Amino acid sequence: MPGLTHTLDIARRAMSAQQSVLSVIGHNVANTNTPGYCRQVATLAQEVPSPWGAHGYGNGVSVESIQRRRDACLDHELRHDMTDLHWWETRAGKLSTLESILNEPSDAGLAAAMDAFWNSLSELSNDPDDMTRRASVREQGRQLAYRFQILITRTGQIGHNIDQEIQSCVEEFNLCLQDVQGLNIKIREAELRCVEANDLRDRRDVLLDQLCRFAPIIYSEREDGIISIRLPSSVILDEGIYRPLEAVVEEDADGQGRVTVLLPSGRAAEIEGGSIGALLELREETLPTYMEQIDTLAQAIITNVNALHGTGPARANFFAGTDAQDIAISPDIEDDLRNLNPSTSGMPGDNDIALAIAQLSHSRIMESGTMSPTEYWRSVVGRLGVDSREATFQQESLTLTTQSLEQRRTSVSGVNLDEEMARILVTQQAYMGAVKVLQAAGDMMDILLSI
Amino acid sequence: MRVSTGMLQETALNELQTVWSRLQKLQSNMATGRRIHRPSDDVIGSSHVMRASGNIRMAEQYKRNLAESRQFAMATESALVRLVDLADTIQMIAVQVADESYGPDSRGGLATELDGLLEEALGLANTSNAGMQLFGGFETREESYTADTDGEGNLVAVRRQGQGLDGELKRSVGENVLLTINLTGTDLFGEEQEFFKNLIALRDIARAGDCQAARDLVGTLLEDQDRINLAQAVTGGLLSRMDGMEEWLDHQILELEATRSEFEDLDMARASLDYQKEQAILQAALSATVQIMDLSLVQFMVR
Repeated sequence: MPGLTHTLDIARRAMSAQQSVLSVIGHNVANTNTPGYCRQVATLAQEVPSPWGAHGYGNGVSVESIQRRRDACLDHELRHDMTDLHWWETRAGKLSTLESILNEPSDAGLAAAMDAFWNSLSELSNDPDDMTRRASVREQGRQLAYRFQILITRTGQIGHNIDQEIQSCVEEFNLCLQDVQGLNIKIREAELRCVEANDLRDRRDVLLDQLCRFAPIIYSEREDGIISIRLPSSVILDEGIYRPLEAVVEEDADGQGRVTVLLPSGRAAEIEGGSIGALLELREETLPTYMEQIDTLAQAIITNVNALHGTGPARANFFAGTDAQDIAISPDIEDDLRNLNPSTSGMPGDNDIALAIAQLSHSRIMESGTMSPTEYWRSVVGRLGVDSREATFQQESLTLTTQSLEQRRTSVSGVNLDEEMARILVTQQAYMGAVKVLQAAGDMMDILLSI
Repeated sequence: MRVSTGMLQETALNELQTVWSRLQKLQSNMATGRRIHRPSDDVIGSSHVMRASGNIRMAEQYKRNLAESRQFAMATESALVRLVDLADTIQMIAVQVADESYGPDSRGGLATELDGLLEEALGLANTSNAGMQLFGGFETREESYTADTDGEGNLVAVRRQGQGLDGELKRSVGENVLLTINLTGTDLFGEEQEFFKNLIALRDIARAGDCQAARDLVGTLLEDQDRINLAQAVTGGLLSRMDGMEEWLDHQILELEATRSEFEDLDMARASLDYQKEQAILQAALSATVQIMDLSLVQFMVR
């Protein structure tokens, strides 16, 4: 039969175990609002019993492990959706900016500027020799050219901003990657010493959450606790491997600086998701397409207006320049309004050129003779509307999905204060029980010693 | 499902954010009175709005062109009314000159009257409106009809000078609709200025007292009169067509504005009700959030 000291030991171990539990609860309560914190649970287990005579007597309780509550499958699912969400969110944001720049439908957009230009020519056709009307045509031409320039410059500015954003995203991505590398080592060291690295793992999970926002990373955890990360084309983090991305500014054919994201091998990183992927796609595909369409419209207007205007006696171009970037009123017209020719004959009442240019608004001069300039612009605006709508819709839908997944994750990992309070009460009671056992064993010991 | 304290806060914030976002959208719509601010708000709707707005701008320009053209045509009509009177008077005088009962003095008086009519007709041929010659074709700035006089100051010939005198002044009053708004000197006075030639001839006949020649001229003068009457009818027709065009443009603008309004304008009554509803939802959400945040075991344990 075990002696009183055995009972005292049981009470001591119980008090110690309950203290540990209370400590874990305290840690949970303290981190209720800590982002990425995963609630921990101290698992109690009974000690191996000791055989005394014909019976095996229990040795009380001890803390077997402190585990964090986390669902790795949910993490994978959520991170996958987060990558998609950030792709669409970044895209929606930039397309919304582009919509603001286009400023349609309104009375201050390109459509209104084109109409004002055609109408000024229509007005001139009513009295072709009137210098005031000619001046009005020149002014509306200037406004149209200015509108084109503003559109193309501001759209280009979005591209420039995107380059800067790519650089800072890559910088942030590399910092996270570096931190994951540091945590990998610490986690392995801790777990080799059989110490749970719960908090370190929490911090690493937060970093993984951040990394998947930038790019579609694929990660896996090895048995020793090291997480390896790769992009579809290359491993960027593993034991002894740390390959940060590189944002390199290169000059393109136009002499403009463009950022390219490279792997350390020098190959371009094929990133097709996350905010970096979206920024690269916008810079490489979407924005150039819209800029090209704006240029195409400007080119068509310059070419067709000049072709008609050039048949006048002055043989002068109306517009100078070749695209939306450099469209302007030609120096001939800027210098002398008499070089503005409303007619081929040059007679004061003749207006054939003015009428023909005004008619360009309805003429199918775009897309191989299938669209008028106004229709073409409407189709560009419509396409942007569809792209932006789709991006916003996907963003909203993915926001709901990720919110729901986030809730499921929090449901598993989050701290519930009420739950912790209830545990405190239970732990307190258990601790008091242990104290009572200790007290009783002590009293018995006193009685024994007083004999 | 297990509910964590963080979930409660997160859910409450997400829901509040959703309501705030809807309220912000409604507020923006109500402040502008429009429900489309950018193409992605309603892709099809914004395309309709852009088309309607563009067509309204064009139609308003066509109306302005039409107003100027009408002014020109009305000036032409006024000149023609007087020219018709002149042609009638000339015809009556021709009959009088052909009448043998008239003595030389009377014929002299008629010749003097014809001189006055000739000068008036010349003035009408050079009539301008808002600085534009009515009957000069493309020569809108300079007077195209000039008179030659003999040593005694008698008007002996009328000539046309300038280029493009038979040019048609075209005005754009609709998509691919061009309206010719002028009558040329040829339309009114003949290719070789027959009207003036015949008038001068009649005056000379009146002075000479050649009744037979006057009788011979009456038929030719009738042709001049017919030409002017025809020109007046053409101008009347033009003005009537302009009336029709203006009515059509007004109707078109009304329809386009209705289309634009249908797609772009906000249903204020509905928006106002939605706003009230969202406000009520927000208040309820805020109140529920405060209450649920207050319900915790911690509250009882710290007492």
